[in-house]
Amino acid sequence: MRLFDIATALRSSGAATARAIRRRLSRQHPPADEFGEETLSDLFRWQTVTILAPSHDIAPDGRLPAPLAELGDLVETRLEPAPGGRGTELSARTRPGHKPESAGWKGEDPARRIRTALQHARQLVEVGEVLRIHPQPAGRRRPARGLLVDLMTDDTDQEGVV
Amino acid sequence: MKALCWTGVDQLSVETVPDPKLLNAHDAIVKVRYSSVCGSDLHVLGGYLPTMRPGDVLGHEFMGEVVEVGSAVTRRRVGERVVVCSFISCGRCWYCQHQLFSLCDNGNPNPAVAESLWGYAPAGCFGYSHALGGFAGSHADYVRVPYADQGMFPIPDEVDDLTALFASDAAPTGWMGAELGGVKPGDVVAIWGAGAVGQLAAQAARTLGAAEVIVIDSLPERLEQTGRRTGAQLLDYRRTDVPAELRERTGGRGPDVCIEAVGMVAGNSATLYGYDDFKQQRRPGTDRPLAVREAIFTCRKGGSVFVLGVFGGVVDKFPLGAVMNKGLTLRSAQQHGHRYIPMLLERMMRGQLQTRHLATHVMPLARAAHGYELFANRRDGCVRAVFVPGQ
Repeated sequence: MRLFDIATALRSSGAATARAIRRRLSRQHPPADEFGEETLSDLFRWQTVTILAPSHDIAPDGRLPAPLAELGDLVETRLEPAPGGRGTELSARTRPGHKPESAGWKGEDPARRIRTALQHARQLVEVGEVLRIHPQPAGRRRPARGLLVDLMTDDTDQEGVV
Repeated sequence: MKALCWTGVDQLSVETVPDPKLLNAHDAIVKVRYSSVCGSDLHVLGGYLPTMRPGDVLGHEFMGEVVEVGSAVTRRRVGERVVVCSFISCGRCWYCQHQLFSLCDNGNPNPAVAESLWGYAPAGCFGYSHALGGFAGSHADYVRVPYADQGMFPIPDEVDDLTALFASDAAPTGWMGAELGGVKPGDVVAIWGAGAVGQLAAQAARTLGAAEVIVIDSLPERLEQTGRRTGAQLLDYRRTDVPAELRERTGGRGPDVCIEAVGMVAGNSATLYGYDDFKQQRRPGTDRPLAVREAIFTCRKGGSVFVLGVFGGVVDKFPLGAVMNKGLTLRSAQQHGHRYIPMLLERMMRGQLQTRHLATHVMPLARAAHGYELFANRRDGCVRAVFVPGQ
């Protein structure tokens, strides 16, 4: 990649690109004893999607949609009615004791994995399937020139990539 | 198959790419008959929305024939002639159920890119960068259509292909600007931009009862076409003081509804153009909001401004004081096409909505790069270049 391309790309996506790179570089989490109070608070923050369905359609007989069920006891979940006829708020967060270095996360970012699971759960309940994007038609890729977009779009159905 | 690919800033090439496949049960494959350029393509083409990857297939306004459907598609069938909404919406989420289709919760498989830019992600769109889902576009022989029962609309026999093409994006966008802009009988409506969307917003404003429609642009052939097709009054911003002219033509009140149909690469004779252009080219600002500023400034007290043009990032010198002190209503949206396309096709069928004339340059897909060159540089009276795959 030409230096000009790098500079232009960095400028053009500004703060978002900088955050993307910073996030990407920080995917290896520090040891647990380096977590400050604020980081821990973020780590265990509830993530939520609102699904246009009653709670019994989201978790019939208490069975959660597969993407969340697959996370097992790594997460705790809750279902609450959304105001104004908007359906149900489905929330999940890392269960205390399952920090990012826990084996169950298999090296993945818990927040991003939870975010993906919630979004896929919503699609399954509302539409019946998870929208796929790959493979699809594309011309010749030039990895070096698309590097920054690759950084942003790789796994971007998950939270916290950019 | 052949497809027009973005290969870098202001670089395009027609390449051989893999055919699309059904990936979801709600998908269909459409054989493209016509696919149009759009002014918003220039934003991704020029790198102003920096979320394209080399090799991405462009194009989002198209019609064609259904050649394959997934197992969950029940309302459309192989062989149907359809126009496809440029936005990809599930039809089931809260936003779709409230007719806000371009805000669909389930149409964008890459939401984090848009969330970082805008807080929440809108729906996906064909061929319009990875911020809007990264879907392959329609400048190709074939295109995969997710949520096919929702986004594909059968074309009445009485409507020809080229007319129906613009029901995909330009016509619903224009209609939305007039309707959600709140045009009422007796209103004076000013529209910035005499491209396809501006012209169709003018037609819509007339249909909704506007007493006067005034369209602002600088390209003589577009203004001439707009005047001939819509009966609108015309203003050339290079030859006149637009705010003063609008005051004069509205009894000193200002237009009741102002519709901006230009977008982030607006040109203008104003001094601020140089400032905005400098910032946009060097990226501390991403958009040139010249027409938006003027629309807000000239709108009457208590009036309505609708931003139809596409913007991607941040602007400055935004006249928030005018919005607040004049009590304006400011609205905007990507197009909620699913809401309008059946009605627009019916109007086309009854001869009440003309669009075919917008396709000023119809050419084989193989010449698509030339088509964009004509369109981007406004050469040869180009309003829309339309590509025909397979020729």
